Amino acid sequence: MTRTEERLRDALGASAARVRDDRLRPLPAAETAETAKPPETTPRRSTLRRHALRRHMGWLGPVAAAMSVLLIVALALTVTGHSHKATPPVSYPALPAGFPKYFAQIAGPSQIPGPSQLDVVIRSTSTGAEVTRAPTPDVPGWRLTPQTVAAAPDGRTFYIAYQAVDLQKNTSQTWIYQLTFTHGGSSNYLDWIKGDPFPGSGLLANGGSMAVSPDGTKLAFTGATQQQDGQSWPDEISVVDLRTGAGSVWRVGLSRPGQTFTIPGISWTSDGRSLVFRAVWCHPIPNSDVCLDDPGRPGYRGPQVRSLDVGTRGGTLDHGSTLRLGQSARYPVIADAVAGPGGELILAVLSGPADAATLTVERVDATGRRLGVLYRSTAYGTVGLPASVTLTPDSTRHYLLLTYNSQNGLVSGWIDHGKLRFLPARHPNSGLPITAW
Amino acid sequence: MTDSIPPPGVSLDVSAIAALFRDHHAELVRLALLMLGDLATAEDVVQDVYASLHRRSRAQGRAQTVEAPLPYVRAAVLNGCRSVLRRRAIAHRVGLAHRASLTDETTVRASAESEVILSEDRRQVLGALARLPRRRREVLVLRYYLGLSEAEIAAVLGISTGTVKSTAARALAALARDLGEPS
Repeated sequence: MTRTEERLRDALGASAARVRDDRLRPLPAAETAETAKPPETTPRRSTLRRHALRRHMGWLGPVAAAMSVLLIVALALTVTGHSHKATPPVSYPALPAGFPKYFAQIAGPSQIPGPSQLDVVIRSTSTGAEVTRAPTPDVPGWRLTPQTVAAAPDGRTFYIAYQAVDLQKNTSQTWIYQLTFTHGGSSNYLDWIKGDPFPGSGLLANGGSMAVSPDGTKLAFTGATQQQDGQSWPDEISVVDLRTGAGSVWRVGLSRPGQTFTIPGISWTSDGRSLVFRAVWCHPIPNSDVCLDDPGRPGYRGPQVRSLDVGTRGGTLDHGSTLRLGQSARYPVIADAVAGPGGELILAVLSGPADAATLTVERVDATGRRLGVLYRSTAYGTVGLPASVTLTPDSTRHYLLLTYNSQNGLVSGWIDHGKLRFLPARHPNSGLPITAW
Repeated sequence: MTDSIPPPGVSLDVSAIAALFRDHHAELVRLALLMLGDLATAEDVVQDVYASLHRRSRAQGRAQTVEAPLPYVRAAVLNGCRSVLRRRAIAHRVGLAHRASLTDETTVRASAESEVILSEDRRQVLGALARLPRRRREVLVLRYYLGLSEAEIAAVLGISTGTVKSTAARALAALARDLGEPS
């Protein structure tokens, strides 16, 4: 073998080694490999949404064509190495292999964003640059507001839940759209998901959340069945099969007299068989979107961390779920909990005096034994409420985004060996946290 | 990992397609990556081929019969890569290259990643490879990355073994010249 052949073989091998089996976008399931037709929904909603999408995406044709040309050229430059010369070096620290490429943020252009002024912005985790943007669909007779976003494991699909208010009837629904964008974000496509109308109330209320299963085939989200003082609180869990639209719902069974039951967050276990959620009993503050989980209140019972076997295909929450962890001296206030990569729990725990609380993020096994502390901060202080702490795992569950109210305002960063590394994006004026990556 | 490959001349039905891609997904993406230079597009090409085979199988209402499934799929992936490269060439001709290089941040990101993984020497070799005509590049990748024999390369590319031999020789000579090495 000549020197040229040796160098060629080495270079090809090294270049090919960039492809990691565990980070490849999964191939579509056999029955969804042919995605020529959009999914059907009920005629009324379907018509509205089609209309909205046409209006919304009418400009996309020529723009997408132009942008795809730009994109293709950029890719060609990558092959020939010209882009190394044409672009300045990236000044952000190197991110580990397998790190999520993009994160989603609900952002508005104005100081006090109105309902239709909010967009979902997808940004690069390495540079913070805006990759693509999904403006809120304009549907005649409806006012849509993005509420939360969930990331699919393929890295280029996000699910957006919009609160849709019927302007004539003054009633609300939740509409969930799928945002898919091309490499580089030069074009995107917004489509509704199968399964609408969803099982249960289908209403993502205050603090509602969504999570995509590890294989990308199911979407779990919290819904609200009850309304108090004009506010709804998420108290049920729905799971929709994204391939077929079939759904299941779990509701009621965990209420306590005199308290409002809510489910502030859900996450999938890595095997995709269960959901981990935090059950909270709180007291709504009238005319606000705050439900106070006040540890100082007499008769206070702390949040529970529970797991729900999605194989039970619906039912009541008390029978469908099992208690994983409750309030204890070690875990006085569980501010958030998600499933870890190895079946363990990851908790955000507040402890110490209320005016100088310490926030710790720790790994806990099935028996409640502490496996290790991932992050600790005394900067939590008294700003914000316990519910403002949010843990968001990436699709691999190896990287964890922590968002909380510090004395300096809303903070979002990923936990890297005990330190919080901020994502390179400022919070927009709306102050809405990053909900998916 | 070749157990699930259907034997030559048998039906390439939906389950056979799924098994083939399950076992060779990463290899096919790597092949496309080496032809195109970026992972996301490589994944797109492989996904498109997978979906296309499914569509064809369904549309015909019967399984497609192919002599050698894996070379057939490799050829389909290479075809997909050629389409992408053709579109890139057209884009170059309309003179939009400079603007694109400044607007596509993901390209910057991919370059940064490559920089970490690939040494200067390797980048030099890959750059020289990228400057070769498409057919020569395909032959070299199939031979020196997948380690295919001349007959296997001929089957994938649909050309004679003699053509494979001469193309490989010319490609290596051109590569050596570009790298400043004696051929």
